[in-house]
Amino acid sequence: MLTLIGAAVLIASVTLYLALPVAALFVRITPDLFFSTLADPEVASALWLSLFTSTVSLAVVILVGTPFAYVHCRNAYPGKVIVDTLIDLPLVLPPAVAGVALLVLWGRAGILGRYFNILGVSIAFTTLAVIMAQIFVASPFYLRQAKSLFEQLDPSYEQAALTLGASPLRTFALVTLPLTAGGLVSGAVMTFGRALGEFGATIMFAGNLPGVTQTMPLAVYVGMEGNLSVGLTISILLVLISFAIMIAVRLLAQREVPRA
Amino acid sequence: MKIASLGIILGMLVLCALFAGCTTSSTPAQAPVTAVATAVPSAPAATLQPVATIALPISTPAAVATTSTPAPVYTASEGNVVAYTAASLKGVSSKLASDFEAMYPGHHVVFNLDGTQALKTQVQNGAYADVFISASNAYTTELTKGGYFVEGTVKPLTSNYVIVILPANNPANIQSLADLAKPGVKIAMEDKTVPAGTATIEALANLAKSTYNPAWNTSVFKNVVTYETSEPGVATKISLGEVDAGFVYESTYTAAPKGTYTAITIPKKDNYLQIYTIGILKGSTNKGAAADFENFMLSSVGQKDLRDYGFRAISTT
Amino acid sequence: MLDVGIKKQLRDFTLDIAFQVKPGKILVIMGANGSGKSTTLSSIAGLLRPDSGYVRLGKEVLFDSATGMNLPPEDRQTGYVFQNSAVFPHLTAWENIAFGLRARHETRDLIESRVATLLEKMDIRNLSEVKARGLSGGQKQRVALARAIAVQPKILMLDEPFTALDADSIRAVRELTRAVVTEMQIPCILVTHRVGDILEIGDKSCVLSCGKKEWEGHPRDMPEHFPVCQCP
Repeated sequence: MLTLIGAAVLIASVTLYLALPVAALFVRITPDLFFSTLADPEVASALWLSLFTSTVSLAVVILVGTPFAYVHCRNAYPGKVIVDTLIDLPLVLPPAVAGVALLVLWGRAGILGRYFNILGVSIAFTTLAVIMAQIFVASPFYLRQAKSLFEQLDPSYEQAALTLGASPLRTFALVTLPLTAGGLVSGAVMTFGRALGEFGATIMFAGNLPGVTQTMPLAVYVGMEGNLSVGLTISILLVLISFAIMIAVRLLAQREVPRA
Repeated sequence: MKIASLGIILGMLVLCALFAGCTTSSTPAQAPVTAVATAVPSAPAATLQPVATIALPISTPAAVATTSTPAPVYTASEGNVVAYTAASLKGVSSKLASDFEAMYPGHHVVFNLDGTQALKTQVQNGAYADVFISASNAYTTELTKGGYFVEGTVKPLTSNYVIVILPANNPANIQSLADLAKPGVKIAMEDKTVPAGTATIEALANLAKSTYNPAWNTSVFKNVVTYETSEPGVATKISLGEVDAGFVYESTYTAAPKGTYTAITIPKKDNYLQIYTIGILKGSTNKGAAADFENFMLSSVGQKDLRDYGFRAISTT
Repeated sequence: MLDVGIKKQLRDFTLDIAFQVKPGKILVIMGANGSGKSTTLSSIAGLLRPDSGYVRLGKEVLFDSATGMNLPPEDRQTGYVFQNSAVFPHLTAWENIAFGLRARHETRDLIESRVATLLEKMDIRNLSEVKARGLSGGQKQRVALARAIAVQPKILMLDEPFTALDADSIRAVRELTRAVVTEMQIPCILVTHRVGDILEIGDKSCVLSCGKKEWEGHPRDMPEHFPVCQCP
């Protein structure tokens, strides 16, 4: 009996700790105020900007990251261990530090950015900077997942395809990808979530300009200091999107990769 | 058996945390227990009623000291002051801290520096602080109306004008305020929720009315590439050379090493004089030390520190 | 004729083997686990590169360390039936068998007729629309064999094809292998650890132990016991 109570208390306390703050958001604002704030142009522009930049960031990560992860896994090359470590770096680096680093490199006074500046190309304080910041912090989520999937995939599938006459590219497209798709998508969804929630690097590297660089997390931060209903509304939007992401990940992660 | 005991311990911890959260952060409804007799030296500057801390852990009442050459009587147990302070005092904060400790040996101050708007929100949501230094009259009024300050402890502290700073090498070749409207100029400004931001918006409006025209004002805002969430944030973007111009407080410019920035002044008649206030929060459990700190800030030592770092004394306008 | 002579340093020993297989004949390679059997097959298929040696098929050189020749696996036209069948789980039996033909961009008619024939031969016509992940072990192996021979390979290799198969499947796989090899007159290598298989199907057999050929000859002459090298 005591064991049962103890277990129940354990589960209840963890659940409540995570659930109550989220629930509090919904309690603090009335549905009327929520819906009327949704019409606020600041909210609308932050929502649109966030979705747009996160989608573009995700697309870049998938298109570049998938072949990268595949080539990285299937080949031994000098420095592979270093690259392996670098992939994980943005996970442990504080986002603000990432932002400073990006600014110092790509800003118009930056080590590389100055050359772009000469050509008339601005990077810092643009929507491009938002996307670059998101890619930097969110790509590990996809790359680690892709690496793990490709490593786990039974090599005999790809070997069989090669012996049947399929080129490595055809093998990758018709055999490797379909067999890892479920896991890749769940990695993509997590990447999207991370990009959507990115704050520290964005505010440092891209700045805060409504319509251009003020993503939802920035709008929450600014809103909570001036316009509470805006802050709460956007927070709730982000919670809803996060829930959708989590459900999507659960459904997609059920498909197992054919193991070796 | 193990799971059960672990679960019970965790459950109790959670319950304790919930209760603790309920009690400490509640709004100042307790009546301050007035003091036991201690010496209350009168002084030309503001005096403070001796306020003892509420019963529980601390027993001895704090003493008060003021005047420019104080003779503090204090208790060692309650030495720390948590000061929620407007971010523009970042540069002067370490000097203030060491001078405070010199004046009141055994006392320490911890500054939480952030945009006044952020600090105000935190206090309104239960954050603990002993002293609140605000860069905005509007926010001070808001907190006063909310009953957060101890009556009679809100005083004007110092003041600041807005100034335009440019990177030292002036990459956009800005020679006057008119040039701020040139197309392609990159400007950094504080967000309108930040006191420095409101001050800038007002100053620009005044300039548009008196010297330039509304079109100039519109063009300047078109050139803004980022609304920073604190005043030092703008200074950082300038020192990195990432923007062509930024609006900050005069103190930031004056206190920076020579040659860090180039500056363009805004005429006093159009400028916005930001008045900083200091006050003791009702929620403080350390009111004696808080009073000591407020006295220090208002004393000639504290005021000199502020002036050395570019802030203006309150009496002048 | 398949002519192989390769050396490769493995973790615990060096694989050093040489043999020849005539067209239309089946060589059975026997040996304990880890003795280098699968490495040999992979080397012939081009999936692994030996440290030195040669792999020649008639006049065609697939691999020669002396000249640096190393044809990639997709160009070698080797039929390889893997130990775990390696049928693509996400494709149907039909699509599996058609995979190689599609990779070579064969015509639709040819693909359809050849796949139909093979499904018939392997007696799995009723499974053609079933996704491979839903097939039994025996059915998968039949699909794997059909898939390998659909592209009319120049060499056929089978790695432990009979493990975990039911008797019917064993018979089917064995008969089709023999039929295909004879009909297409290609050399065939079959790896197994079951002595009975050697007698049933092999024209020649050899025993591998820790990377070295311990014995080679006609199956019926195979000695009862072999000094088993304890591969660590």
